[in-house]
Amino acid sequence: MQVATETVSAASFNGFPDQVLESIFRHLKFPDFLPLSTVSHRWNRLVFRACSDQLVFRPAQSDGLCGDRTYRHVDLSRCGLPVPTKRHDDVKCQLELLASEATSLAMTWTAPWFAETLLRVLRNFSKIVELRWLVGGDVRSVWATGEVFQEELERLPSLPRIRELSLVVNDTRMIDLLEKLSPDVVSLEVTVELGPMLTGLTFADFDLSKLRTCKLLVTGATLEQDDHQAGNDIHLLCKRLQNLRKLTVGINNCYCQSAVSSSHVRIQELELINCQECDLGHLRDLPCLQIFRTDAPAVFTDTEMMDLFNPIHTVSTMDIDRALHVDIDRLALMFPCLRVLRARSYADGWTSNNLHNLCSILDDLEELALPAGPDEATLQQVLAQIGRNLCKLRDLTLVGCVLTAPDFRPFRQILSKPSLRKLTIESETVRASGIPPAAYILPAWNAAQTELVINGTRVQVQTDS
Amino acid sequence: MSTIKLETSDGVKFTVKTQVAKCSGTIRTMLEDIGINPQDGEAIPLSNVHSTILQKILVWAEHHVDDPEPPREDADAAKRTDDICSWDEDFLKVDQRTLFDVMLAANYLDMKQLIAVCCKTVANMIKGKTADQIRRTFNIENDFPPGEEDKIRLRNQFCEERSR
Repeated sequence: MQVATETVSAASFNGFPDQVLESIFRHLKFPDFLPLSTVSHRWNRLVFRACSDQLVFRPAQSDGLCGDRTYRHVDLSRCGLPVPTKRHDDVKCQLELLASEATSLAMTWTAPWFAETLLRVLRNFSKIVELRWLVGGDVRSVWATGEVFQEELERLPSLPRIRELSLVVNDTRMIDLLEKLSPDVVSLEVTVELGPMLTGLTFADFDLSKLRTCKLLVTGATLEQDDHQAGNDIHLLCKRLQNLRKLTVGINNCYCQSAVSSSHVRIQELELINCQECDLGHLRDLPCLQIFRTDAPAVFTDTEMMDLFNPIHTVSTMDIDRALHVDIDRLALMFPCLRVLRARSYADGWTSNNLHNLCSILDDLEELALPAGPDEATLQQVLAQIGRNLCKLRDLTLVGCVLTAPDFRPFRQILSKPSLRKLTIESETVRASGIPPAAYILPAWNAAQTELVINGTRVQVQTDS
Repeated sequence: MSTIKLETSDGVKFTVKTQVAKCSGTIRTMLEDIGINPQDGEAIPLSNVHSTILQKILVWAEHHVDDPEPPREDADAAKRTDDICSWDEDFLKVDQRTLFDVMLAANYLDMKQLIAVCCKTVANMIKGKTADQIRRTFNIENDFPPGEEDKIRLRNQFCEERSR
């Protein structure tokens, strides 16, 4: 009976234009649309046209994949392209047909045949704008064919206009092989996994004029901490990055930070990662810097006392969330215009002085993350200072709060701040007590205005109280 | 208030407020760009729309005529299918054939908002169904040669969600 009614009322999609079917499919999210591909030929084709931006095709094998659909995002790092039987073979495999429309491509390729594979990719994936390439193995053998490679490259009718280039290499000379792709690159990410040799991150023949974001990472232990050349290379590189907005550097080298700063590069955002220490004094030399982030456990401030009378007004975000040691007084004096400060690992302890300075000087703060330990008295002090000051604060995170009972009434003054929209409380003592959120004692506050999150759980007002 | 006449494929004539008729991009273009003069009393022929369907679409247009221009949504918001207003939900509680005819007519008349709610409604009907259930619900012929479906399933296994 049920089936009969269905058939009577069934109307088919046959008369529907492709574009209407595609707009139906566009309302589906991954992986809901995958079963649709086995409905019919037409659905298979249209589903992948409508939803291809939501998925990456990441095959584990390179054969048996033929079909009538193509993919926008292809990751061949698990299977690679089949090795051609002879050099400069122009054979297209099924994979290349499937990915002929691809705009982003990820590859893992180890020598030998690196240059040949790269040529094949550039020839057959003409629409890619995003290329990620991980080159492993010993690639010294490539250099025997290096000149041939450049000649072959010249012979290609056109090159893909790659905007985002991400490379993982173990020899910096690999980067220079891609110099002809560089004029369109706006985002460059290079990770050097130290292999046989490091000749410096110079990007000598790269066109860096359009670059907006740049990430440079060097991993591995063979780089000398005090290798002066590495710092020099970074300095010269930064001087060429005239349109760069964001720079991320992860090179464990003591000259690196000053090399970036002394180039006076006009970046707005700087990130220093994988480093042990950094000196905020260097930021003075970056005239346009707004956002600074580091994972260094030790953060130093100016050593010259007189510099404190010359504050840095451009910087509005200071993310030193992993820093154990930092001079809070000096930080406040040096960066009086901070709107965001994240320092939740700070371990040097609060005194009535540094806490007062922080809260009274940094009166533009909108987002703040701090530790509020190690005891209940410190928590009271932190709450009192923040409650009295910081009238623009929207988002506050307090970690390490010591509370003998899950009684959150001391937070009442902060929760009633008119500017506040979110308060996040982390408390080990409350977590250890095992008492469920329903049993917390909460102050009265406007829960519609301010979100309260305790130990990762959003807490609601108890309706019965 | 100015009105215009519309004539459906089965020869039925409707007199419609101009403002309501302009919910249709197709009619709007006819009036504004091509310069068809509604005062002539001549009916605009809608050769692809049956009177029962136009009747229904006019009810929708009448209800939504004063809707503000929808904001330009980002891709994720546009994917939502749980934001159909309850009036539209009731409006589209019809048999499948009518729903499809409304959709086709809305497409022909270029009524973006109506197409959008119809697409969301059908997307909700599709969601969570297997290929077999979909074929049965929508009367679609399985035109795959034997073995082809398995190959597609193999390729689907290699599809992963793209992180942004």
